[in-house]
Amino acid sequence: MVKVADIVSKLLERTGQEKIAWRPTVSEDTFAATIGDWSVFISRPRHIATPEINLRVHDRVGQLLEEFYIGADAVPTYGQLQELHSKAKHNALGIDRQLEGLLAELERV
Amino acid sequence: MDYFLDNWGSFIGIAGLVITGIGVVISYLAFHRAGKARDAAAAAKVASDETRSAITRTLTTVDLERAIALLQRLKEMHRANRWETCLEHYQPLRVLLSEIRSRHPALTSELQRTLETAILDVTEMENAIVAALRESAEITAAAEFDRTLNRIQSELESLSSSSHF
Repeated sequence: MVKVADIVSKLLERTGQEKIAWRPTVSEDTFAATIGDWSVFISRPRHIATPEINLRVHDRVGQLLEEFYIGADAVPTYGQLQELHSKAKHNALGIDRQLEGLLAELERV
Repeated sequence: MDYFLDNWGSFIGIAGLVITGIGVVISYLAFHRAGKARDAAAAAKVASDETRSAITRTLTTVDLERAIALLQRLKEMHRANRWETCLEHYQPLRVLLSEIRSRHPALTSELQRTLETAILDVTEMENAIVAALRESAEITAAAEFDRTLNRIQSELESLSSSSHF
């Protein structure tokens, strides 16, 4: 059986290599990517009081295949998911590019 | 007769030439006929490909129109806060979008991405509504849902009227 930790590690590695294009969704702090015939969603659910990160895997028609709620006690997967969420956000919103633009603007003014 | 006996080699040579000539003519005719058959087979293949692609185009246009109509109904349900009812419509919409995508692997990467993105948006919309209903929470992103559905609808409308199919 495939372990969620393996999926998270690979997602993190491929996102770091910019092989995955994350995009924002209609929900705040939720980012999604299509990878082949599957789509992956990563979010920080607001309705849950405890700090958990939610990872969902859907098939090609958007049917939910598996959903994981990873809490802080899941070491090291939780830390990796935090990093993945942050990278997905940067990638989806083009944050680095925007910050570079801001820096260039600051140099100019 | 003597002349024949003395020159039989030449006669055989001439006969050989005649037979060779006949052979060449027969081969040419056979080759010509085979060429015609090849042309006919190629023409049949072209016609069959064109028919298949016309059927696919029609089916895709029908699917696009159905998806656009579904989006319109969803928008109306969202505006009327009929969240429970609209949950029944997300799955057929996702399936339609996915079918359009898989029926046209030759679509430009931009159009493939448009459909991909629409599937992601509809999936997340459905997930957010399910989560809110489960928690009996208010759906705060209704305006964002409306904007997203409008965007998808407009993209599908331009896809439907374009010549990409």
